Amino acid sequence: MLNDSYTILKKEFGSYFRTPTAYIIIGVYLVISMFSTFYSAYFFMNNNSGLGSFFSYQPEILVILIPALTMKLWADERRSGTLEFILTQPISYNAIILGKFGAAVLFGILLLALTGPFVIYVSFLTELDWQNIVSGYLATILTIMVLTSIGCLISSFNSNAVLAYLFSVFVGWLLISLNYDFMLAPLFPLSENVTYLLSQSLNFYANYLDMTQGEPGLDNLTYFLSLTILILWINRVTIEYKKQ
Amino acid sequence: MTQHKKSLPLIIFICLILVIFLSLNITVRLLGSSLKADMTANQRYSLSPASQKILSSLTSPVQIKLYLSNSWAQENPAYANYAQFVTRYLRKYQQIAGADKIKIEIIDPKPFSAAEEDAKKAGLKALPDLSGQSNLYFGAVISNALGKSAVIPNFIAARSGYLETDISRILAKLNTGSHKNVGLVSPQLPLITHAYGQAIPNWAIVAQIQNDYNIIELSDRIAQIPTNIDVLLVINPGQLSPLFAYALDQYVLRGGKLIVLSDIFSDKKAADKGKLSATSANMNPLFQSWGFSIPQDKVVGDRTLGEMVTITTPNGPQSKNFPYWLQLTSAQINQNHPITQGLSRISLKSAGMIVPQKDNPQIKITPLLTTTPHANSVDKALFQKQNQSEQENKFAEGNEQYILAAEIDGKFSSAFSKNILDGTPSAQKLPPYLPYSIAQGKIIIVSDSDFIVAENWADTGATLNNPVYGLAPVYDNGAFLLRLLDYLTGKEEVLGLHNTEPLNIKTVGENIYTHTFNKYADAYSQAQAELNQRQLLAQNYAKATQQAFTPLTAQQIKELETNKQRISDLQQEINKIAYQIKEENTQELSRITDYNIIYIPVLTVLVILLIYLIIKKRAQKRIGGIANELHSN
Repeated sequence: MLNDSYTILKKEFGSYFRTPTAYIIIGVYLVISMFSTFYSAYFFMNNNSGLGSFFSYQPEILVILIPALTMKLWADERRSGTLEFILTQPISYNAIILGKFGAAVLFGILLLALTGPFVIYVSFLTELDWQNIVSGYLATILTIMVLTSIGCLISSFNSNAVLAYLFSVFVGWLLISLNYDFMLAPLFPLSENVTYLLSQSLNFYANYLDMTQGEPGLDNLTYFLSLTILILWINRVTIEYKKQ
Repeated sequence: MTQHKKSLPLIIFICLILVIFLSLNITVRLLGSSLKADMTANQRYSLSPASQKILSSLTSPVQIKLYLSNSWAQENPAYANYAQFVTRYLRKYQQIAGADKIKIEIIDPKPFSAAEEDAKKAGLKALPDLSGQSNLYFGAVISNALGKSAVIPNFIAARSGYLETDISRILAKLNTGSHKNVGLVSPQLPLITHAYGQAIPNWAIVAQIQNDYNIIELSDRIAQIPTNIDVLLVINPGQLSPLFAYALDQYVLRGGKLIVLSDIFSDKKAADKGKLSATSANMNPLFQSWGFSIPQDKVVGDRTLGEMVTITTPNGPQSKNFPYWLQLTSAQINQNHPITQGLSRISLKSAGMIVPQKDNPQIKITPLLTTTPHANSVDKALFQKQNQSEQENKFAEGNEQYILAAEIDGKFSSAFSKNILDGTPSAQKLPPYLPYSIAQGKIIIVSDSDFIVAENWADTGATLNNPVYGLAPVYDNGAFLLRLLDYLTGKEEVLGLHNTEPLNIKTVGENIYTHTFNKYADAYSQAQAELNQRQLLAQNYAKATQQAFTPLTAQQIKELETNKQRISDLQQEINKIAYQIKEENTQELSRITDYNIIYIPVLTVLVILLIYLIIKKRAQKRIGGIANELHSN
């Protein structure tokens, strides 16, 4: 299965660079990231030993850019009619899903890696807390994984890539911005503790901030990984279901 | 219908995995903080074992009301970061103690709201916002179910290294019963003022002690230390009356706990009342019965530990190492003693030396603070006559290591042969005379009293009228004195609390500014020093002319004119340098922004494109090679 996944990953990852999409996404990502770091997150007015200004707007930026990577993954197969062909090949569904997902995640990691020169540059301007930075990057990679899985799932529902992009942005935005506390409010009189736990468990930003501020835990890893696995699982079930 | 039937298993499946997802996340979160890693330099989110012990011993639920004005974050991003840090830190306490033991409520006290009224009533101190129209709050009220409460009127970022100590001390205070009594004898230094029947602390250190203890002021003319005193703190007695000496002697023999700050030369008093009045009482007759002495004619100096100070020399103000103002580091602070363990910076000024007596097996003397082995001592009489420049100049490095503070533990003999009031009617009022200790005595002696002056150990610039939580300590002097009290009153739960390195709150912008400023620092400070000198000269001329009522000579007028012209030139020069620094700094900020937003992204895209083209070309070449090979075959 891993070999099949790797083959698909290589093919999908390479396909990004065959069109100008990859270069546009890289350019846009770097410019928006730096713009938000220096202007929206007041880079010069913060201590930034843990690159707080850089990490503070990453989820918002990735919500816009990751769907651009995932929108075509399934939608194009569907539109061009190759989906049925792929699904009839002697390759497991998991291998296909993981291959496509992995390619988009790898591209996301490449985006992050390209901010390396910025980190090196900042290390000459202020003393950096490298452990905190590693934790921040890990949080961003996990965010990429969650957003990619959402993008993959929505792309598998649609044959129109633009629609898939818009839906993915919308769902991703809901995930990172929505405060679920109002939905949990009726539970509050029943148990304060359980409500607090639920609120913390479901809050994307609480988990993201834990990590970017240098305090990652098993709870944060479980949140991001279980969400990714859950969505990928639904992705697999829907594909199987559609085929039937 | 068939469609619905077909979708039903899918919906059930999705619901089921959603339930699994929620249960998994809640379970992991329930496992709590033990599965959290602290990935920060200096482990800034980790609570010390002492704090964890305090949390585990909480007997009553605690509520923390954090008043935090949201608009503060918009006004000052750096402060918003500290607010985030404090919030996270409080959550850490909650995680460890459990949500049922510590409840945290974060309140935004909007202008003119009920929450703002509550904050004011609780004692929080507001700061005006940039417009000056409304108040900003960032403080906390910590209370428990038994009705006890404590207030941190303001969290200040410069005190971040003491955040854990502050919160844990409050929790320990709420958890324990009544405060212990500290008897305070300070006849020379006005630590407390009395007004309207209230004792108002003059010195920050008194406010700090008062925060955890009841202070009972005592006269230095009493013949008996009251029995309700848990620890007696004697600061720099001027003249030791025989009555008070007897009181101290008998207090110690009965097992009383005593701290003596005995200064050989009080810089504080010298600054207030002149050098000749800067000495303390000779307590050696008492000290000798406790197994040590403090030579009254020696002041300790140590060039290795000397503070860099600006000294006025004949060649103008110069930065020099002043060997009598000592900056002790961990190496000179006993790290194996519970009082001093973890303390890393203590400053003393013109301290004396503690000399243990050799032949007293019943007394144990444990040094707490020492000099390096390269210290020397100078004659006090000479020291008092010299100015600072001479004191610095004449000091010669030695090869002695002196004890500056020590714990004295053991059973002592009395320095008196009988009840001091024997033969008077008052003799019966005193407890029976003791010739020897009836209980193990504990005395702590520090050969300096200047170390408690707030200006010598803290940045008092931004206290916000809050001498406890508004002080930003630079040295551990305050913590040292508090620990002496904690140790002697048996408050072991707070002894293990260590302050940490303060958070690096310097912004990137400030770093860049410092870097730019440093390029011009020499020129700037030279011009500034000359300006100060010339302004002083002008002032002296003006004063002399006013007092003498004599007309100036032509030479003097010329000199004055030249001086005036030079002052004007220097002011222009300083303004020019300041303008240059500002311009260069702005350019540097723009350059950094442009590099990161424009040049580096463009360059990165081009490099990636180039790499892709190279890979593609190689692949094409390889394919071409294979095609050619096939063709030739």
